[in-house]
Amino acid sequence: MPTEPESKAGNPSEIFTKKVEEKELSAETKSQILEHVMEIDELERSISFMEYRVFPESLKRLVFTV
Amino acid sequence: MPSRPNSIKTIKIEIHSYPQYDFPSILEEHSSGDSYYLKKKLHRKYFEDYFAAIDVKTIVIEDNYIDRDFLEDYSKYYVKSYSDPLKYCKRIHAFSSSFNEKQFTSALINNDAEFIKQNLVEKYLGFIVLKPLPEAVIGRTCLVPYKKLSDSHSRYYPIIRNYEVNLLGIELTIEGLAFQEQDTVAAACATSALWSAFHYTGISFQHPILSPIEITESVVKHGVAFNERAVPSKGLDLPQLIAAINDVGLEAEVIPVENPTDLKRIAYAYLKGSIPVILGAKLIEKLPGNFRNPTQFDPDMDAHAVTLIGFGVSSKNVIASANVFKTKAENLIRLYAHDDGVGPYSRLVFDDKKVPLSYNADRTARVEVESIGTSWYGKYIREVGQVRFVPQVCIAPVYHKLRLPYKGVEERIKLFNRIYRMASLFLNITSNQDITWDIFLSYGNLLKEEIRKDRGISEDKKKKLLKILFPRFLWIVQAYEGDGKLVTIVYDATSFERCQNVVFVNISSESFQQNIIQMQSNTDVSNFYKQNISANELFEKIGTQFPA
Repeated sequence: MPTEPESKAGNPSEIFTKKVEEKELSAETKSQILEHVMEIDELERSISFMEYRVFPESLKRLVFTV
Repeated sequence: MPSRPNSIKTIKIEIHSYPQYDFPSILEEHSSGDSYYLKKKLHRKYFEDYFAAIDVKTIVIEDNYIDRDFLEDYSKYYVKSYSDPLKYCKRIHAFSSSFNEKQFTSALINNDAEFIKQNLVEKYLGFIVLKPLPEAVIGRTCLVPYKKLSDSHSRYYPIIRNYEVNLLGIELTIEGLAFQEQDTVAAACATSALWSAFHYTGISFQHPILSPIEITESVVKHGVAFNERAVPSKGLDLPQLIAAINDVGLEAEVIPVENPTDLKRIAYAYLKGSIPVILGAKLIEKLPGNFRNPTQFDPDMDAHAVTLIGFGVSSKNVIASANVFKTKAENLIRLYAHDDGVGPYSRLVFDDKKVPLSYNADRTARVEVESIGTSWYGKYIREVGQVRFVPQVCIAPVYHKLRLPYKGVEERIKLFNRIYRMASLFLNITSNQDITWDIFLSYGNLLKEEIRKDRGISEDKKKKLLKILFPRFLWIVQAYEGDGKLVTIVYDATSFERCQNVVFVNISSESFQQNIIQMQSNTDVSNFYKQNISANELFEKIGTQFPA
């Protein structure tokens, strides 16, 4: 089965991470950017799977009695 | 054939100067409550303090009052008891003017319009219905919210409405929201919280306003099982609370709350958009030297529900500057709630204190969690503020067309904010980096009113914008740097989540737009953000000021 060109290059975060590593930036700036990339991946997943709509199990057991 | 007694019922009116005739005396002498229980009630102290705060000078006590909500509870439950209470209540009216019985009677008989206007209509502070029950005597209560100016914060009460009151033919109006305490028969705390919320949504979304026992019955109607009897009611769980909201034709937006900052953001976003929020919280009692769960609360199960109806915003900026994602809601220093355990407009204070709640994995120690201060009495130490809330969940009763939840918008903006910060570092952009976001619910007509009044928008643009057919519900997102607005982004709140839902963008800062254009024109950055439909939408629409 033919592999699509994007898959060879990696996902957008991996591609961007390589660009950051290649770019002339201070180590601290690179580290800050990569931290943002990781957080962006998390948020991207949360939005795609609508994770913010998932209730923790503990909520289902709450009884408002007091 | 027996005939009906030929008697006419009468209303007895008493007028007293306040606080000479104080709130404990009113309760002792005019409710049928047991003296022992009345003395223990926090409501007694709370209303005494509240009457002083809103400057009550005269009270008018009206007996033989028929309260629709109590009548429903009475007809469906109490009347069938062996020792049924009377169906008549007493109504306590509060005024900020001073007058005596002679002046009041004279004004009524002589139709003294000036006295009535100056001393009654303009000075009316609301009423409390006293139910003829042994313990839960505080019935439907509509009082003005406390509005005195403060140097430390400003108070906002978006969830109040007008109530028309008739006292011996005099039309009085009160702007507030109805409150009542639970009787643990027809209603528990969640029922009382729903009942207050429905008093607002019933007007804004035009649905029937159910009495407490009707709310409890509505849950049974939806087939949601009670572990115990439905009536007498010991409480509702989350599915039951949702079923009660569905029963009046609304949807329940259920939002788990991670911490007090999360609570500030959720509550602010919905309250500013005139949607009441029911807060579910665990309770922790403070004891000398440490915190622990009091015996009557199961830390894993028992919770309390209150209706959030307002908020207090700090006069100083208290937003933590180190946060990557900052919102204006973080300047909230308190919430105002109808808490049936305390009273109307009671304070929930954001004071950054932690309490031990759950056990750790090996159950050797309790995990500390962030909490908020309350005005509750403790079980062990009967002083105000002994019990703290650990917020768990917010439930917003919303119109069915309001589909995009707050969290859906917040996550989109968090993502955009991160990409903007990341791209700024990558491209060495230094302007407009200290951004604070303001996210709240609004309405198409309100947005048009704001556009119309905005002097920063040109005439030609106003003409164009006012002709846009906006959806009824909108999420407004504004970015600020200091006091300067950078951009307004408007989301269609009636839209579904997996689509582009920005309907309007208004740029207020040219340098911010230039930053976005610079990011768009860099292929490394644009290839990165295009992976996400919502981020791509924001970059495209801010770059072009949508609609162009």
